[in-house]
Amino acid sequence: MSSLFQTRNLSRSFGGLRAVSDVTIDVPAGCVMGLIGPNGAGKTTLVNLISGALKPSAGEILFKGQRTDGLPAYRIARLGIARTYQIVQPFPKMTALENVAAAAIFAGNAGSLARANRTAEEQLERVGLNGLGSVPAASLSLGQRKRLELAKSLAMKPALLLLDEVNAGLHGSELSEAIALIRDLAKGGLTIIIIEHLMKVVVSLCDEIAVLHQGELIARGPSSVIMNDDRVIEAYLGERYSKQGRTGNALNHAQT
Amino acid sequence: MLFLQNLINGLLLGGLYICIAIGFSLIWGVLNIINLVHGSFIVLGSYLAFYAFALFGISPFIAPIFIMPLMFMVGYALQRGVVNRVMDKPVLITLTLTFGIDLIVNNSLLWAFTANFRRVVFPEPYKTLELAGLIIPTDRVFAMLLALFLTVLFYILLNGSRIGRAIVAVRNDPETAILMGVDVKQIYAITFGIGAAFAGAAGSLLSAVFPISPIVSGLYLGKAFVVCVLGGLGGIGGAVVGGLTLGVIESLAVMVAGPEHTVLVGFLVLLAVLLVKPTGIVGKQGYE
Amino acid sequence: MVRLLRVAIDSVPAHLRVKLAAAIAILILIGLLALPLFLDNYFMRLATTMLMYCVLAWSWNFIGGFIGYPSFGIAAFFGFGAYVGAILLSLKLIPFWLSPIAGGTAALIGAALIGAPILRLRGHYFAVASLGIGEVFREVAMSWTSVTGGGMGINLPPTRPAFLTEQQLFYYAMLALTVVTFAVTLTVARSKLGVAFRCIQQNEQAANMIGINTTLIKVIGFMLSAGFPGAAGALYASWVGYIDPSDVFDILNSIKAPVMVLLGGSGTVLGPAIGAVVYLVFEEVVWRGFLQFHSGILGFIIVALVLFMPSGVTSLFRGKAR
Repeated sequence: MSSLFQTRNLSRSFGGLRAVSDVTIDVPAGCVMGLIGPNGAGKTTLVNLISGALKPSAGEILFKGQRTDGLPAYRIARLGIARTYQIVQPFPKMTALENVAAAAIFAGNAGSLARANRTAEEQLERVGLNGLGSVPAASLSLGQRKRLELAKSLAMKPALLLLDEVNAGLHGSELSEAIALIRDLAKGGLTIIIIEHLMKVVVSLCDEIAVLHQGELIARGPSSVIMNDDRVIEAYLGERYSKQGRTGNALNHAQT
Repeated sequence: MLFLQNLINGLLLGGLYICIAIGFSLIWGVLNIINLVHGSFIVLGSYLAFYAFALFGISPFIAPIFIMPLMFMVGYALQRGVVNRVMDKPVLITLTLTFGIDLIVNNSLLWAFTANFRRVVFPEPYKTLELAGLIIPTDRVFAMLLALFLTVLFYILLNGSRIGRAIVAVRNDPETAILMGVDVKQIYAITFGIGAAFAGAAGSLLSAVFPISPIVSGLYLGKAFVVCVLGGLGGIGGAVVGGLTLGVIESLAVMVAGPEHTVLVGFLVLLAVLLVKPTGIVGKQGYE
Repeated sequence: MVRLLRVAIDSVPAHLRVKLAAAIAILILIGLLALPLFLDNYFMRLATTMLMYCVLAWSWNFIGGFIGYPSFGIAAFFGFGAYVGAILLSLKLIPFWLSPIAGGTAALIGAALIGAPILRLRGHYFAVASLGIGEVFREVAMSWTSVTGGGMGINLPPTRPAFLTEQQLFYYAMLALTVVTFAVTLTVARSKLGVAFRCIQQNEQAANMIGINTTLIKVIGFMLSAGFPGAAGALYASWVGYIDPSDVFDILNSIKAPVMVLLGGSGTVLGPAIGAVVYLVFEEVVWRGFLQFHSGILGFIIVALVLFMPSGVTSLFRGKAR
């Protein structure tokens, strides 16, 4: 299987702290990979390294066969990697349409402002925000802003989409709609790496799961295997596992 | 030998620079405001010292005792009345505001005192000591000692008193300070007042050594800028390190290139620091 | 009064608005072209100054209004252009009409070189750095006597135009520069570059993430904010015939530009010009009325503006968003 994206021995330290340590993963095109791990495991740092917000201390990142570690973030965006933020980052005074159009113009190579606006409308509709195009981004609700973030990423015509806790703070119907949307995107062939805490989301969406703990990749494989992996359970529950017993159910319990 | 002489000159000058910069650094560090009125405050202090000496015979080395409370009130009123309204606004607004205020203050000084230079003329001029071949002007020594004394005083005030600790709290984290019951608006005003007071003290010391005129307010402001950027806004340490360093750098520059270029050297240092390590030698706060 | 204007503007159907705006613009241009026929020397000088202020305000608007980086370096490049023009003219190396181009180009290059390093700074530090540049330039001009004449300044050879009076020549030259600056502002505001500017202003990190080369864009904005003042400085030098460091590098010029833009409305297309005109009126009234206090009163005006109207005059016309 052709590998769209890989990291090799990727590391990043902050002073004495190794936030990401020697991570090697391979993401084939079309895969939906879940990235899980307890808080502070290094997931967001890893995503920051991939998107170019941070430079690695060591190791390599390859995208479509090309080295991208060390490239500035804007170049990586133009090459086809888009990401969403845990704490959303819109352009607050611009309307939702303008937000998405901006992404279309620069990373999405829209050509003209008119074409960018058309693309923006398409993406807004895709994420279910049609009709809200002329609302300033700052006035949208959290759920709407999350979807706006997604629309912006899609307008960039990415080959690889990084979703960082895109569902955090969503509940009920908003959550199921979000999950359905991501599933649609995956079916369309988009390669996705998704950081998630909600286990049911991870299990239902992801083909593969990578588990980080204290910066290291401790497990990698299909969902069913990972969910029952002892190391993974221990990483999440630590001492607690002795209270609840070493079963896959304990993991599911802990993460609702 | 020449090197040592210049080094001494630099350190003496540096002491004065510390005093010039402390008030400026305090206001920038705690209120996050670049106070462009600072230079005029210094000049005002100089004039107060001049008249204290001319009318009452009070030495400029003693005058800070009276000048500092006066200037404190001026600063306090200014902050409480005007500057307080722009506390959370971006730097464009605050800088423009203090520039406007400085135009008013400086123009008033020019109108009141004219641009003619004045000097504090001591009946018996301060002697120049000669120690081991080095020339040491005693008036500058006194100025430097007094500057250091005020600095130490300030350090004690900041760390020892409740108000001082409140100021530090506000500098580090205004939101938490509010939660802990600190009246942040009051602290801002007090801090501004203290900044003005130190500017006045610096002006008083400077009047013993240099001629006085409203025209030089920009010069002093420039020095304060450079010292704060060079040393960092981390607190008194920054002003001390920055002041002494600038004094020494300038004296060495005089040795190499002559005295006409000290202002240029100062600003080149400013730019160099900003490009390499904007937070300065000591600076911890990454204040934008 | 404001509401009447709003109603008037809103009543014009959208597709006609552009044509109406263009018609008004042409009328204003014709008026400006014809002005010298009606004004005496004093008002001609005033008009030329007003045009120069428009140029400075629009220039600052690129870096400070659109991008949101508070530059206090307008005077630095104004003075730089002035000196480049003055030196080249006094050495008779170029004809008069080339001096604003030389000044502007020199300023563009200077801004390109200086921009990249200092635009890494934000907020206060960027403001201080931009101020510092002006101070360094001024001190260099003071010290480098062999080239710049030091504190004695430079005397420029008089321009002897063929068909116009000298005053008219400079008026039209400044008008040409103003039209160019306005055209560039208008074009940028509606282009992809303008979108990039706005993105950086609202969220620089997000701008990077959607593929904007923020360093390059910021440098372009900085260059735009320097080139036109550079050309204006060169024109100014020829116009007044004598320049010295404390005149052309006066910090006051670096403050006037943002004040004018604040007055008119930051980040808009027309705001800077409106602010420039209003500011000039204030300045003239104050100058004529209160010679001794004039900088103090200017200070009061600035303070009042900042405290009571920081969004400027055009914020009253909230209908036209950007």
